[in-house]
Amino acid sequence: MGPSKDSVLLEIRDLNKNFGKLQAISDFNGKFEAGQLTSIIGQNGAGKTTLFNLITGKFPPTKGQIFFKEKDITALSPHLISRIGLARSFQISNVFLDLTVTENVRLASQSRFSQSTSLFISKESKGRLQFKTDEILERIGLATDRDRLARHLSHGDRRHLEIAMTLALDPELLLLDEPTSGLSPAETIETMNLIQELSKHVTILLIEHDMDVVMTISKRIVVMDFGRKIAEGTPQEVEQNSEVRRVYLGDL
Amino acid sequence: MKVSRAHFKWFALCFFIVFPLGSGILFSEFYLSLLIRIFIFGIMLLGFDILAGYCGLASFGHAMFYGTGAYLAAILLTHVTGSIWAILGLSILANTILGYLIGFFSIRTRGIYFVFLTFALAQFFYLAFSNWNFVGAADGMAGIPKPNLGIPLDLSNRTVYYYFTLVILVAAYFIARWIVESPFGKVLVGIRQNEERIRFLGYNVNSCKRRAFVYSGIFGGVAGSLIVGYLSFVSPGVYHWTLSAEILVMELVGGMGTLVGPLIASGFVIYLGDFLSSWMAETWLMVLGAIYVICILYSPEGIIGILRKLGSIKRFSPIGDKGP
Repeated sequence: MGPSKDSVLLEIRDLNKNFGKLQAISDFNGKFEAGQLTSIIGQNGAGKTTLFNLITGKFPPTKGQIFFKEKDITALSPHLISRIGLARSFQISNVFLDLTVTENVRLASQSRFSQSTSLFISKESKGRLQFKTDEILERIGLATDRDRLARHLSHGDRRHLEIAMTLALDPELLLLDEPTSGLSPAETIETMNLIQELSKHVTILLIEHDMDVVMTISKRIVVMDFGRKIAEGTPQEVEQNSEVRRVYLGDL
Repeated sequence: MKVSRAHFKWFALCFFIVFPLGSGILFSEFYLSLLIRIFIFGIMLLGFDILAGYCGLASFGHAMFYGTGAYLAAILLTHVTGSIWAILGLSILANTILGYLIGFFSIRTRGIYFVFLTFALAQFFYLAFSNWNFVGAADGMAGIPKPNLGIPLDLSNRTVYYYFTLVILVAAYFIARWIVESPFGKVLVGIRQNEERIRFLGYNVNSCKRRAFVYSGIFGGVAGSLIVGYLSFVSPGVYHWTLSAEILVMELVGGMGTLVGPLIASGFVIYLGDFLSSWMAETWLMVLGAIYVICILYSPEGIIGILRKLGSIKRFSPIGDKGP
């Protein structure tokens, strides 16, 4: 047996997803412990984003089950999955382009307030909402851009806004889909530091292509190939796995 | 001196408050009548803007709320009560239920299917009421008794009705403003801009869309009841798709998601319609069509867009660039 039962935050059993004849995910099993940063690596089309989509309820699996805090969340609506403490970012920035940076983050923060879709909001809640929004903007380093439209942000800042919005949801489990894609080396290091800092407070599942990033910040690594999990372990274990070296690290 | 948008609103309100004083002296009473119709349509457009402009659900069947409010008022005035408060109350109740049901079914569809479904639902009402003898079938009902306020102010007096609709319009404006600026209103804008993201932020999109239908339905129902109270006449035309189309045109010409824009556009279109149809009859719709096309091509933000450009009120870019 692996880790003790109560420290497992997310468990995936026999997960399968077919798109027509394409098997995007085949017999995926996995347990993700609370407090750890786990990276999911694999080539394009290995099924990494599909796995995220299944976990967050974007579409239902063909077969299999997903448990979050021992609760079966398989095929629950995305908004319900989000509300129980699971937040995701998107590979291609998926923000509200015609809202300002502050409005984007505030809209995310708002969803965790009891008056989230109310016609009334108390002065006190409004204050707390603004406070939380400001705090996140400071933390992610977007405070100076607060009044700019998301449309006018640089690519790197948009990637940061993406993370800021997921953080505003107070997640227990954060799923980050290639947060460094398209970033300059300097921005990548900045984002990496940010993720490392975040991982002290929240469990993270990270899809990432940059192997330097993965090897440095991950506690565990899951390697996927053609929808299957082909290896799992600490960065050292995965690096020495012959199968992984063959299909993935070989071209390093 | 800088005249802000807030100043403009109060100026407009003052103008409409003193306007009836000139009636019969400076201009014919006809203009009072025209303004009453504009106010009533304005109430409906405020509600429609919540649905189409803020939430992005451009329904092609909004006449069904107007029609339901109208027929409900006609039946109540003829057979049950003359109290305008009871009529408006029941109209709000009926359109809350109708809005919920229409929302429930129509938001399962998207794009062109949504347009067709809302269109079909409204046409169903049109056909049903065209064949219902109790409400006069295709002829409708005429000579409907006037409503009363329950106080010694006579609603059958045109000036009194003018002020009554003006008060309701102003109230409707503040209620609509309050809705779009509430947490709920912010979520509606989020849904319009990026429905997927708002869902992953933990919001129940379908529930919010149904509520948008309910709120906008209430505004439409109140407008329908008010028009019957004024004209003392109703016909199945209140459910006809051409009315839904006119609502959509007003929304687009005014500038979606601005509240004030659709309000101005309802006045503009109704005034233009009256003015042009007196000497070119039905063909005035061609002019309306042309204005519509010009708006879509040259000012997607409608009248508000033009006003913003004229007053160079910068909404978008605090830093001045157009961005990527």
